[in-house]
Amino acid sequence: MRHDGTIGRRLRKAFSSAYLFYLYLPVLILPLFSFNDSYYISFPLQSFTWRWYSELASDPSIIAALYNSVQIALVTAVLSTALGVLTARPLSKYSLRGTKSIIGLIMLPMVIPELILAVSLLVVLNQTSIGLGKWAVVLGHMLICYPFAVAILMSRFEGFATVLEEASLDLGATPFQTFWRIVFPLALPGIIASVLLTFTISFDEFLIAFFLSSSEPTLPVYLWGQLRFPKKLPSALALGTLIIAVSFVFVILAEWLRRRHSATGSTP
Amino acid sequence: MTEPAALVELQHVNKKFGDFVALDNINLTINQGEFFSVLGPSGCGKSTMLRLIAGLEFSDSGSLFIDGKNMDAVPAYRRPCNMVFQNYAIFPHLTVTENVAYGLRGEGLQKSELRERVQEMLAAVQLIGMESRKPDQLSGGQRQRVALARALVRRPKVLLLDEPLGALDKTLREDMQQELRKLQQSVGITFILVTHDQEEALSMSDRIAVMSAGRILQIATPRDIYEKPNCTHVARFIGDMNFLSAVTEAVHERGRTSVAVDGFGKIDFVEKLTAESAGLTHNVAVRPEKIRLSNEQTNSDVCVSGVVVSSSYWGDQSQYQVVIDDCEVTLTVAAHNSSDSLNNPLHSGDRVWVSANHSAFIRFSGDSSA
Repeated sequence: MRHDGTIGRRLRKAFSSAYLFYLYLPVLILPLFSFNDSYYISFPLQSFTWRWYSELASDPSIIAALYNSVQIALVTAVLSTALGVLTARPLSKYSLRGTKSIIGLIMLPMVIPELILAVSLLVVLNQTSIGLGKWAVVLGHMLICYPFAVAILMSRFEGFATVLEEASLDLGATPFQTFWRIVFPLALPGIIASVLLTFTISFDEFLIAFFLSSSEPTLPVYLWGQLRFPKKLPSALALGTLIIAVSFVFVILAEWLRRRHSATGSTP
Repeated sequence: MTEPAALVELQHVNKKFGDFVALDNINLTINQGEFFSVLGPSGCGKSTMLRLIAGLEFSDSGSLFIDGKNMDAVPAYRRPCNMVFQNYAIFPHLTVTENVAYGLRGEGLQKSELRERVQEMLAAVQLIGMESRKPDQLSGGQRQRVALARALVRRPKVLLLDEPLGALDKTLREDMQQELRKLQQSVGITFILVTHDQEEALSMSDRIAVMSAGRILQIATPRDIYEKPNCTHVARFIGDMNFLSAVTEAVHERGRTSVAVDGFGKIDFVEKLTAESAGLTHNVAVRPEKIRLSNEQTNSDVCVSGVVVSSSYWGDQSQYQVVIDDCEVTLTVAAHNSSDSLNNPLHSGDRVWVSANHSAFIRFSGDSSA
């Protein structure tokens, strides 16, 4: 590393810049054209407008799709986080036999192609009384959100001092009170982070929702449908911009909460 | 003094963790208002015993009584005892006041009464002014006081202390030892202290139990533990000790015995060991500070000559290694630097007289593992 010199440093700088450019430029195009007063996505830009956003707000089917998405994402986030707490707690507290294989099994849906998950869920759910629709999407989303919830919550529970629970019991609190007064508050940042992240994942997800939502499209599915109509494209861009903005805020908030003060009870 | 009332009783308590025997047939009675210490090296089972009393661990067999009640089916949160944990285990998300008030939440107290009791306790441990601080804004000593206040505010019958001073530096530890002793005497609550620090146990306790490998070796007052250890393990664990091998020469009437002690020659003891007869090899021990060094021969019970082979200066005292003439025995001798009979310090190579009284020698039968 001694002869790193200026060439190496320049190369690294060039690579990083190119990478960031490539990563964010297309994303920045979206908001740019969502404020452009033209049906066509091409330069030069026309005048600035809020038109596409107001068109969005006055379209009842978009509002319905937004409503579907929020409902699905909320239920998914709460359920997968609750399941995540119930899983992460014992996995990090007790050294059970086969802990690693259990974790591996839980993380598996992260590497299964979503298309395959979606198709197989479509086949299975069609055979059951659940059928297609919002609940079907929730089930599908829980499958992909659960591993994230477990991963986030395990990092929160790891190093969680069991002695704090013992101290609580010793001071006369029942196990139930101990959970609500000690374990829950100390794990809360992790729980909120998990809710925010799983909400975002569910809200942004397309493939599973596309296959399972049937007549109750989520926002991304609706957006996809709109792309067929050239006149609706700018509105779709406006909608995409909003989704990106909200997701961005959620993920940053989740990460900030996850990293804030640790839950260990030992004295520094 | 009236007969002390038993408060905590352990009867034939056994506990294993897998193959590891943590507690091996423990029988113990701790009295009302007593400051009782459990002393032993780490891994001897002393913490397990404390956790068992607190209800955080359960025995494999045997029974535990607190205040006459069997505790087998009583969960930790219903037991009349509270614990000061080793690293204090203060709730990091609560303030000092909230930590101290935590144990009173289930008591159904009036708000004003609760506040009063918390304030009273905070005053007792000198934490006034720290009420709204979070644990990470406290020093080690202050955290220790919070842990103490949090446990004592519930007015338990027994306070359990698990190495409570281990994390503090020396000066603070000594201050806290005195404060803890004073506090115990003022509140009159039974304290059970677990420690590996012998000075702590000796200076604070009414009685000490010395533990090793899951068993209680001796239960006695600090003075008796130090002066009359009942086996070589206890003698070795508490303070420094010179061990000398010895052979019984003759047992006379009334238990008087003559013993040939390595280095000191023949010594007469007034009491015989159980089942002692001529030819028995055993151990004789003597504390370093019970041996005197002098330039002239003394008329003590025993007096032999030797050579100083090393010396080290410890401030209040000096420690010398002395080899006794005509044998291989090396003695450790501690001499107080103020009241020393020698005006000049000893150096290695100096010839000295080594003397001691009969009463300084302690005999152990059986375990010749010295």
